[in-house]
Amino acid sequence: MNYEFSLLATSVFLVFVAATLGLSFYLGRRASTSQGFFAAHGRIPWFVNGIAFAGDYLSAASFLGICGMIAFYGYDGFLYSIGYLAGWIVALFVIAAPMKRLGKFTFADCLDSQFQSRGIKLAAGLSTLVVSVFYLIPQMVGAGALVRPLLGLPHWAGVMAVGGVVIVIVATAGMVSTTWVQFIKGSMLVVFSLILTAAVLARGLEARRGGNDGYQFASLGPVPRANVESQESPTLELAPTYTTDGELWSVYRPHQLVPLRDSTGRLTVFHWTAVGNDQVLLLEAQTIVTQPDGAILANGLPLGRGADQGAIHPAGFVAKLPGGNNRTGPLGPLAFLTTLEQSEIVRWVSVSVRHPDQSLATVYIQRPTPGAEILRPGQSPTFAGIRSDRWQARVDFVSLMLALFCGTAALPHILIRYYTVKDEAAARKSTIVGIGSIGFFYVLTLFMGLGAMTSGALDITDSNMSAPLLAKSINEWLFAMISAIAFTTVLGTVSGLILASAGAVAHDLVAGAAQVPLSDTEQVRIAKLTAIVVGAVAIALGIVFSQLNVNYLVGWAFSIAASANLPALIMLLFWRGVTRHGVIASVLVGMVSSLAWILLSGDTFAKVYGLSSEQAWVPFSQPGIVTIPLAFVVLVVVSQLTRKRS
Amino acid sequence: MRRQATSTIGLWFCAVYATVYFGFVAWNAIAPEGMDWKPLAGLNVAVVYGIGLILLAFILAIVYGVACAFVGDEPTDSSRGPRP
Repeated sequence: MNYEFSLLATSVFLVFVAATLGLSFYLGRRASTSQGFFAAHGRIPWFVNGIAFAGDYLSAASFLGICGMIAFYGYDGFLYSIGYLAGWIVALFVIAAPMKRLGKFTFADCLDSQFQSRGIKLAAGLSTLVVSVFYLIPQMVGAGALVRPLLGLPHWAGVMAVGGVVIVIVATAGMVSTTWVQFIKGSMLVVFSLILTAAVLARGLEARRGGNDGYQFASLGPVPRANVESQESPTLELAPTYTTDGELWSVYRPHQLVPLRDSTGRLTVFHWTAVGNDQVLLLEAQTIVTQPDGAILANGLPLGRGADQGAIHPAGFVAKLPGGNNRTGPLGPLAFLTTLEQSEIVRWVSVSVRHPDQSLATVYIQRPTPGAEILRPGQSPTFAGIRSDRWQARVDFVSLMLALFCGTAALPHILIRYYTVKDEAAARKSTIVGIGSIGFFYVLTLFMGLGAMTSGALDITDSNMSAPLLAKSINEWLFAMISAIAFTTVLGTVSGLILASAGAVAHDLVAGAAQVPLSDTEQVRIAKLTAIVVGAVAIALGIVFSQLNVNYLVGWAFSIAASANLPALIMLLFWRGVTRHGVIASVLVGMVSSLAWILLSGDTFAKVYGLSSEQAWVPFSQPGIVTIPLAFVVLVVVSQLTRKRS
Repeated sequence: MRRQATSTIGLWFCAVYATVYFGFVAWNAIAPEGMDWKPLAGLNVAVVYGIGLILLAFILAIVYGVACAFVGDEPTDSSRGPRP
């Protein structure tokens, strides 16, 4: 959480930004018409479009979020990789060709192709805006998280930098520049992820007791269990010194924490675990304490890198290798996974302790974990429920995986990319290229995430930085490139989202639903203005929601897209009984019901409102398993009811 | 006619993949302890099935692309009439 400024990384980052902006200005003249601004004249080569799909789709959630989740919890992050990729099957086999055939600029064009209905344009335009804004928030949050360690700037500055650059990209050249930015970003992301994975495998695994700063985490004992059970401390501050193993220690009971002071008076918190029946082992924990006056203590000292200051030590290491070896040497992909599976890895989990003086301590506890558990699902807070007795948790998991499967083919910023190629065959071929590059990247996330987990460079306070810090543990150049690519990752996805929003407002809502007569030039002008406004809104939301988890927010966007857009799209293609009233009702009910379900769910109560999840109004948090079928049913019922009348 | 053929192939492939995908999801939801089974080269079924799903998607996509190229595409038209 306390990073050093990197001149090299900053320089590479600025070169990327300058190149991106230069490209946008160069391509700007090709986007003066609506056909050019929204669809790049339909002249993007299919291979370029396919890689641009990867650039559009592989967002901050995919790169930073999944790698971070695997680095912290193991296999569970890979479940997102599987779900995100599976959604492309629906896109290729069901949606790709009809989208190209029926639409022109936006998702609403396709839905409305048979009806010429202002209501459909209004519903689809609103749905596009809602999904895009929900998807924009995590991208902006991710941008702020990246820029803070890279440039030493505060979170809000990172959000504003991304917002500003993206507004320029979209407002100057629309889909033309967005496509080429996404193509370059998609190519570099896949290539450098491969390089990073190769470096992880070449380095192999090493057993040790600390991270890359050379600090060795202490362990005490085993000592008699009575030592930690006889006295109870009300806070983490009242700590005896640890000079003899025979001493009785006070324990902060809720989390099995034992605060101890060394001979210099410095406080260190340990966590005890049982070893056998009557012995315990104490492992050193790390602490961040925010005091009532705002001062921050890291491991008992004022936060900083100077003398008499403290920092959180980098972590993430293998404690034991199979056969008692210290180092494996280079490993192949299969040997890497099987060796890890037989090793013991130290994960870190956090607990919060509020003291009577209102200071807040976050304690990071070592949790030595067998590799076999790392490579099995159900270790993260998100998916731990599948190993519980609660049926709601299992339904929640199925519901999320359903939303990921159905959501991809309903994301407006992905769908508009089908209009940038010349025909159905090109749309199909570009989707196949997209599946190849995106699938390859997702396989690499497993190795990058596990590599970060064992790199000795993990920041245990921020999972989003796992991939860049893994690169830093290999060399400074790779860190500079990966950080710049991660930033461009956000740029590429945000550009696509803002472009989709601009199309929804200018083409669907103003020209379509409100039927304001607009010339081609006026429509482009409104779209550019919308890009500026949506960009500004995204900046504000990115700052307001800076504390929310990136992957969690993306899950929302997928659920809303899958519920609002996919049922109407599928039924339009495969059922001749669809009416315009049915389409409108399905989109609106899918959007409102999924949004309402999310806002009334336990996750939102706990993470957004700060209330107990027990107070939630709905039994599980992910809406897809209810709201996707609901949208289908509403479409069929309303279509049947309005058929004769129509 | 050709469009209907490619559409039918796509729907069948989608059904095949959805069956395999939701089989994985159901296995995790109903019996997650079964994911520890090691069917191949010392890797557990969670890793093998997960990577297998990604590879299967790519293989089906390639086969579908070849099949569509073999069948051929129709020029874009508006053969479907207006709807209510």
